[in-house]
Amino acid sequence: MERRTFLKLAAVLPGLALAGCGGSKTLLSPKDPTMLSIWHVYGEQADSPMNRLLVEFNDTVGKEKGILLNVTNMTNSAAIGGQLQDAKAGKPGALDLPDLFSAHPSDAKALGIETLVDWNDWFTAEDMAAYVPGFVQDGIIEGRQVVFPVTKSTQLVFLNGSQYARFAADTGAQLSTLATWDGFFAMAAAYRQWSQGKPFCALDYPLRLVELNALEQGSGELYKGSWYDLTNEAFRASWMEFARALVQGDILVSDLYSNTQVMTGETLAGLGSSAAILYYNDVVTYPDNTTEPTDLLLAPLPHAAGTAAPLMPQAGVGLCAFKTTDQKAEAAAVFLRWLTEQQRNLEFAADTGYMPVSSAAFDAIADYPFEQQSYQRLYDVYNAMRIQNTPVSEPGIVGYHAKAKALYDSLRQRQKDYPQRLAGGETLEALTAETWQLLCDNA
Amino acid sequence: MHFFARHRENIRQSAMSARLLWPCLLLVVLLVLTFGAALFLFASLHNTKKDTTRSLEIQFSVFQNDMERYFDQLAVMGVNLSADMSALVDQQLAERKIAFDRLNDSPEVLNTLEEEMIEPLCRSLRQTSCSGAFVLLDATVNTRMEGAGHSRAGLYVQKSGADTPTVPLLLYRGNAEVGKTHSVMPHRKWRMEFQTDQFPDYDRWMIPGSAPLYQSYTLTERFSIPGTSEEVQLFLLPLRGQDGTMYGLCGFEISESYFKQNFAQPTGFDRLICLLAPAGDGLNAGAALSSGTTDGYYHAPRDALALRSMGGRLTQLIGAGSAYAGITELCHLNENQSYRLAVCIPMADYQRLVFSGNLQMLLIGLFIAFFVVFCCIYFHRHVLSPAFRQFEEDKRESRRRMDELQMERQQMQTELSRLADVCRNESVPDAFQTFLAGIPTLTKTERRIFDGYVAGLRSREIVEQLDIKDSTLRFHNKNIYEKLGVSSLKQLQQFATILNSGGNSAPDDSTPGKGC
Repeated sequence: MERRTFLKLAAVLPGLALAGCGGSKTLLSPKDPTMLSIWHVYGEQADSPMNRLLVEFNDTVGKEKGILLNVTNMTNSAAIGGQLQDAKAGKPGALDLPDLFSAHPSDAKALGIETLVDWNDWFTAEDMAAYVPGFVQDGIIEGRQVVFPVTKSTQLVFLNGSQYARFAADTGAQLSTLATWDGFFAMAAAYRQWSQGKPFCALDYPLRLVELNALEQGSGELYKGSWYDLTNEAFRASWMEFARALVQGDILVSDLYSNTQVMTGETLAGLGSSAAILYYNDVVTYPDNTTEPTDLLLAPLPHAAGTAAPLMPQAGVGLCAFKTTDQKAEAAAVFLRWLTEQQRNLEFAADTGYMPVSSAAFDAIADYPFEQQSYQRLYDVYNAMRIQNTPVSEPGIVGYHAKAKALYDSLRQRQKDYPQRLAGGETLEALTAETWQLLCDNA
Repeated sequence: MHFFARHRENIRQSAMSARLLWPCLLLVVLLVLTFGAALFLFASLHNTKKDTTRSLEIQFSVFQNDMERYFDQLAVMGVNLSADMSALVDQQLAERKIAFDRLNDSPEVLNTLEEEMIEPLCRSLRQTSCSGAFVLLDATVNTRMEGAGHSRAGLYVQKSGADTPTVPLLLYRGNAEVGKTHSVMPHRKWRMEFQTDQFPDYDRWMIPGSAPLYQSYTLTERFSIPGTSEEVQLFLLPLRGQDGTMYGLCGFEISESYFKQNFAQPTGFDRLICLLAPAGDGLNAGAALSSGTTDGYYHAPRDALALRSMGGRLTQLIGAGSAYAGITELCHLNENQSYRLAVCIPMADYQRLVFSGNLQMLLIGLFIAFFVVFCCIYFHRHVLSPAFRQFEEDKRESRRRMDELQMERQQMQTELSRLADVCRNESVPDAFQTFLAGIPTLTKTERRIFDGYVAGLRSREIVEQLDIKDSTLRFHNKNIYEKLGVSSLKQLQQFATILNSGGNSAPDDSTPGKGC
C-alpha cells in the first residue's frame, strides 16, 4: 500500500467509526438487559392497569431495548413515603429500595433530591413542553425535575346510586345540593336521620377539604413550619364546620379507604381521590349478604358557598428514580416516554380515574369513549371541574403526611363515640373544640 | 562486563554439550510448565455443557429443597389451622346443640364463629410464609339471596404488602365489622362471602374423605383472585368435624407476587427462571408460579412449554416464541398429588455460555500453541542457531588448521628430504659431526633421554617415561646439549631427524662417531 493511500485511510477510518457510533449512544443492550425494580400505587389490591402496561412494555419495547421492569411493591400514595424511608434506613423487614417509584413531591424531598435523577438530564425542554405545564411544575423541587408527572387526580364525591335513589325519593334530595359545603352538610344530616343514624359520607383526606374550604373563604397562607398556622381564623372556622358534622355522626374519617365503607353499606358516599373509581365493586353488600348494584354516582367537590374562586385539589404522585447508573436512568427515561405517549397516557388515565399528563391526551379525555358508565360519569364531572375551578397542588411539606395520618388515627379512635357523647349531654362546642385540640396537639 | 565477557568466552570455549545443557533444561522446564498449565485450564474448562448442567442441577436442588421445606411448613401449619378451626365449629355447635347445616341463614352464629376464628386465623397467617389465609364454611348467611348456591361464609385475610411482621392485614372475605373490630380493614375488593363458582374445583375438595389431615392437603391450580389482577394458588385442607362432617375448607394463599418475592434464587446466571407448575405433559408455564433471581433479570414464560431431553438431566423447554434449557422434575406433594418444578435459563444464554466456553478453550489452546512455538523459535534463534554457527565455525577452523598442519607436514617432509639429501650428498657440517661425536659420550641416563628425543617424544613424555622431574630433565638436557654441541632442543631434534632419516642409527656410546 502506498504511503499516501495509507495516510488517507488512517484519516478517514476514525471519522467513519465515530459516525457509526454517533447514531446509537445508548447504554442499553438487549444482550445485557437492564432491570428496574419499581414501586407504584396504581391498583393496589385490585386489578392494576399499571401492571398490565408493565407486562406490555417488557414484552415489546423492553425486549427490544433490553429493559425489564419488575414490580416489587404495590402500595398506596399515603404509605409509599414511609415505606421508602424505611427501606432507605434499612429497617428490619423493609424491602430493598426500588430503582423507580411513585412519590409525592414531599416524599421525594424527604428522601433527598440529590439522591434522585433529574429528569431534565434525560428530557429536553421541548420534550417537557408536551406535558401539561402545571403538572410538570408540581414535580420541580429546587429547580430539579425529580418527580415526573404520569397522572394527576382530584377529589370527588362517590355515591351508592341504589341507596341514594331511595333516599332521594323519600326526602327529595338533589345532587346539586352537594355543590356547596353547606348543602353537603345539610344532606349529611338529612341522610343520618333518614337512615336512622348511619353516617352520610366517609372522607379520605378531610384536612385537604378543610384547607380548600378555608382558601375559598380567603384564609390566605395556611401553613406554618411543617403544620398549619393555628392562628388562622378562617382555617379554624373551616375545621369547625367539618368537626360539627363529624361529632354529630354525619360524616366519618374513612377507616382505610372510603370506597370500602360505601361497598359495605356503612355510608352512602365516599369523598376521595378520583382514582378510587378503580376500587369500587359493582355491587354493595349489606350485612345480611344481600347485594344491590352500586350504580355509582359522582358529584364534584363541594365549595364554600358564594366563593368567587372555586378551587379543586390537584394531587397524584409522579415517578422518581434513585440515582444509580446512567444505564438505569436511561432505561427509566425510555419507560417514561413510552408510558406517557399520548394514546397510552390517555388510556391509562381513563382506566384508573386519573387525568392524563400529556397535553394532547389531556385535551382528548373529554371525548374518550368510556366502556363503563361510572367512568363516563366521573370524567363528565372531572371535565366540568376543570373548566370551573382553579387547581391547587398539595403542600410539598416534609413531614406533613405523617402528622396528618396521626391526626386521622386520633379521630378514627374517637369518631364513633362522639354521637353517643353528644347524646349523653356533652355540648357540640366542647366536642368540636376537642377535635381542634387534637389538630393543635400535632403541631 | 568483564566477568560476562569472560563467561561468554568460557562458554564459547567450552564443549558444545555443556553449552546446550542449560538452555535445553530451561526449554524442557518451560514446556513442562506450559503443558501443566494447559492441563489445568483444560481440566477446569473441559466441558462447558457439563459445567452448565451441573450448575443448573445445583440451582434445581436448592429450589427443590426450598419448595419441599415450604410445603412441609404449610402442611404443619395447615393441619394445626384445620384442627383449631374445626374445634371452634364443634364447640359452637355443641354449645348451641345444633347440627352444622343449621348454620345456613344463621348470621348470628356465623358472625360469632367468625369473631372467634379471626384472631387465630390472623395469628396463623402471620406465623406462616404465605400471602393469605382463609377459613371457608360450607354455609351462607342468606340462602334466599340470588346466587346463594355459590355463596359461602368464612374469613379470607390477606397481607397488605411485603411479608413483614408488622404488615397490616386486610379482610378480603368475611364480615366487615368483625374485621374492623380486630383491626383487619376490608380489602378494596371486599365481599362478605366466598363465591365458590370462582373457587377452583370447590365441589371436588368438599367430598368427605377419611384420610388423616396430614395426608389430606392439596395445592389448587393457579387462578385469579376475583376483582384483582393477583393470581394465586391455595394450599387447601379440609375442615372436618369430630364426626367426619365436612365443615368446609381452610388453608393458605400463595400469591404470584409473594412467590416471586420470596423464592427468588441467588445465582451466578444472568437470567434464571424457577417455576412451580402443575404436573402433566410438558410444562404449563401459564399455570405456574414463578420466581427469578435475587438481583438479576427475570422474565417468566407464560405459554405451554414442551419438554425435550438434551442429554443427562438437561431438558429443553420449548414454547411458542421462546426456548429454555434447564432441569425439570416431577415432585410429590403427597401420595395423591404431584407438581412439576423447573429451573431454567433462556436457550440463548445457554448457547452463549457453551459458545464462550468453547471459544475460551480454543483461545487458550491457541495461546499455548503460540507460546510453545514462540519458545521453540526463541530457543532455536538464540541458542541452537548460535551453537550450530559456532559448531560450523569450529569445524571450518579445524579443517583450516588441519590443512595448515598438512601443509606444514608436507613442508617439513620436503625440508627433511632436502636435509637428507644434503647429508647424503654434501659434506656433513661440523656441527653435525660434533653432534655425532658427542653421542657416545652421553651417560646412560642422558642416552635414554637423547633416544627419547630421537624417537620424537616430547619433554613431558620423556619425564613420564623415565619417571624423572622436570628439573632433572633440564639438567640432563643441559649436559646433552654441551656434549652434542647443540644450542637448543630444536637443533637437537633437527639433527636427530637427520640422523633418523639418513638411515643412521645413533652411534653406540661405546662406538666412536663416524661420518655419513
